[in-house]
Amino acid sequence: MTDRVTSIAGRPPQPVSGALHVCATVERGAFRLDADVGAEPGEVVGVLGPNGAGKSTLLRAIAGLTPVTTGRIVLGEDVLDDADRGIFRRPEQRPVGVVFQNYRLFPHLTVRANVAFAARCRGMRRGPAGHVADGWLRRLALTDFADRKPAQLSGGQAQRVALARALAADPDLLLLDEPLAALDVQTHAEVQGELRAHLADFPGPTLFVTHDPIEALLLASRIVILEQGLITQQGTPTEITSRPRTPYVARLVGMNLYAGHASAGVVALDGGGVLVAPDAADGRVLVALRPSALTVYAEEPHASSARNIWPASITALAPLGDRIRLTAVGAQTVFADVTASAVAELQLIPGRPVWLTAKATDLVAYPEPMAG
Amino acid sequence: MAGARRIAALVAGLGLAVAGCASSGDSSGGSSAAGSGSSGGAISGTVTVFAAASLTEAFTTLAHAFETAHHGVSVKLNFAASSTLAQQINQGAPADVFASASPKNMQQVVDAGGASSSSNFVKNVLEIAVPPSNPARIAGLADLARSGVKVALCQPQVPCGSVAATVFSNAGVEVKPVTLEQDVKSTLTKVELNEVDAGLVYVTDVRTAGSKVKGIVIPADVNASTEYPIAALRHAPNSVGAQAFTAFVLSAAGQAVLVADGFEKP
Amino acid sequence: MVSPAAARRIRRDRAPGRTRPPMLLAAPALIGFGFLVLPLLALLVRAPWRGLGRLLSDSQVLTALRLSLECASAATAASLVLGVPLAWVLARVRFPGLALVRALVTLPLVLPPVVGGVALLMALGRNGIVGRYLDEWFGVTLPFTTAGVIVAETFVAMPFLVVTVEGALRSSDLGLEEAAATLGASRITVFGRVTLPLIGPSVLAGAVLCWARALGEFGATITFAGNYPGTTRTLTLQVYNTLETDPQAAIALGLVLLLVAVLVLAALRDRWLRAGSAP
Repeated sequence: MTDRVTSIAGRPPQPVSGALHVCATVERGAFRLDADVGAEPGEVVGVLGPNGAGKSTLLRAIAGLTPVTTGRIVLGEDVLDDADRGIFRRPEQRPVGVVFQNYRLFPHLTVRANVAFAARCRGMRRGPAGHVADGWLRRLALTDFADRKPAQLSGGQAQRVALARALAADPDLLLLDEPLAALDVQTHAEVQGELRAHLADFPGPTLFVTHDPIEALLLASRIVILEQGLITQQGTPTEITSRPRTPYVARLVGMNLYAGHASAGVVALDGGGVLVAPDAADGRVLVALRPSALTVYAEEPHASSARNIWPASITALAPLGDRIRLTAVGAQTVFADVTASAVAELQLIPGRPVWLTAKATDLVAYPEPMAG
Repeated sequence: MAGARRIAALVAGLGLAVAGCASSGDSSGGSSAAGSGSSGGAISGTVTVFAAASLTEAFTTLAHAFETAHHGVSVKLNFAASSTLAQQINQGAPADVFASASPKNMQQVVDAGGASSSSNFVKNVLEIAVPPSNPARIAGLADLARSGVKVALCQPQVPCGSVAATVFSNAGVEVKPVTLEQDVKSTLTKVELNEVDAGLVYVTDVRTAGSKVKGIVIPADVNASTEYPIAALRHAPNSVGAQAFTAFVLSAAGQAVLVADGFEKP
Repeated sequence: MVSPAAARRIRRDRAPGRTRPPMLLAAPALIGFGFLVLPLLALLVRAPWRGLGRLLSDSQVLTALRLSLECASAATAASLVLGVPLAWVLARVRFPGLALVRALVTLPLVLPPVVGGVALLMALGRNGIVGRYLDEWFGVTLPFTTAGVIVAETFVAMPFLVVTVEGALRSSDLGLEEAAATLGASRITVFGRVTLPLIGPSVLAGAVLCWARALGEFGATITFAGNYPGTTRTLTLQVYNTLETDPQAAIALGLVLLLVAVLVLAALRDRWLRAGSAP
């Protein structure tokens, strides 16, 4: 790390940078982002959300590419934005490194010149700036590509160049926009391991945005869920996967999720139906249920020990790994994972009426978060 | 459909133009047959007159008078430097009458076989035109040679340019103009716009410009004049009209209009 | 993503011969081509080849040629200095009245050049709304000077450069400029190190168009700057003059203009291709 800091001439080694705090709104036309997120030094925060949730807006606001409407963005002692006090630091004045989706490498410059760009912007001559760049190229195993133009790089190489270019600017904060999205499946697997390692080496806070839950789970130490401009859930990957708080998260992590009112272990679901969940505390609750915990019957099962039994009708079937995920609609829509042989045996086709059962012990019930 | 019809019309028009160029004798023969060759024959259609720029006002008046006298006839006027017009006529421009500001340009047309003979109908002399405020305090030809005085002249091949050269040589004055304009009206315009301190134009131009310029008379002993010849052209599409218009210009009524605009009798 | 060079290679692979165009397109295309080439061909056929050397070594012609080249180059330089920043503002800055400003900038493209010349006289002539003060305060008058020719040519030709460069800027990737900013590049550095190199070929194309337009400029020049050998009579004005006195010489001059245009376009196109196909 010392090497990294001292390699930029003219800047003495600095103490590890401070934490990122964002508490701001950004309005763009009818869209409004209302974000309250932070990232500690060394922490990798993944902002996960569907397209149009405001992920890129958040990233752009932190980078200074989009001004905030209200609120503050602070990095350590550095106030980057403060709408009330009229403070706005221009992007070039922020110690923020950005790895863009599609990388945005300068097509007219070689890999080395791309990585040396930040040093050149600080007035460093071509020679010394090239040395700085070479150090980063070595670290990211890009030395062989130094004289190539971006058009001659593979996706994975381009991604490493983009990372090297951002890190070479010696930022206090690292931002990544969909870091793996532009890669094909094969490269995806290769790069994610490297990227994890490089992000772990970065001493400052790292924040990346993605719409891919796998990417978030692989890279992030903490996940922030952003939906329609609002943060709906934050937590460790484990917390997010086991206790989804919104239908979006539930769908992402492949869970059935129902909201309802619990009373004495029985949850009356919004929209009809009841589920028996003895653990549920009285009041508004969310109930999560893994699709693999459901059992499907062709006829009404009389001998089942399951406490929850209800009829439904199959509406869709889709392969999912070595299983088939079927969608069935009864009092509620439910996803259930079954084996291919079960589909054949029970002749499960769309339109067919079936019976579903779930053990009470497989239901995870937890209080519903306050709205807003 | 409308587009196709328009293209068809265009093609037909082009075909006519090509035919007219290739054998203008045919078309003039046709029209003279219609006019039965007699000078007293009915004049009809359009008479196209190419006239020197200095004739702009006088010929506009004459054209109106001619149209009034011959009901249903229209006169199309094209004013430019006589040298330009001579060039256009020699390249086959469909003109009926050519009125030149110099015998030299008329001779070019005659030499090329465009006209058999011409008659001088007026003459014109030069005058110094200055902006009304006369910023350079021009009083005579000698002032035009002063350094810093901006003078506009016509190009040497244009009649007003060659007459100006004669005037300077008569007066023994050497003038370095800032611009050589393509015809006398452009020279006059430069004076009207106050872009130059003086210009050498015809007396008639100063008169028709009214209050926009001031004229400074050139003494008669150094001044030079140019004769204006007119001719009905040999390849005139409307030869009857051409003869009639030429006769009208040379008539007493025509001369009266020209003299009223400052031209002198030849 | 396909690199421009690769795209060009692909296009070249589909060279003519592989596809036969339908007659409905081929016939008008052929007529159109003939229409454009015929007059140039006629110029070559009618050229007084034997007397060419004598006609072209005339000192007036050489003076006019030199004046034309100098003025067109100066007008192009002026257009680059003023036009590229103007294109940048039109493409990158949002302000009320932008559409109007853009329309005004492109107006000289459709304005008859003679009208442009008159407008220049009204503005910068000795009596013009600005020219009056140039004369009074600095003793500078533009009409009838070589500077006036350059002004007239710049007025008429600069919009070609602005339109070309603005188009390139609008279609260029803003993302790259943002990326440069996050790397610490000030706006002027972004312009110099990223924007300008990326639109370089378009700037060159715009400059060539601008230069060619300036070289052929006639109406605004003769109206605003007048017509005098050595100071304002460019080769186009010389052609016009000569046509009345010596048509043969005018054809010869036309050939010179044609040759200059062909040489410049060929030279630039060559450099263009090499720059474009370099990795």
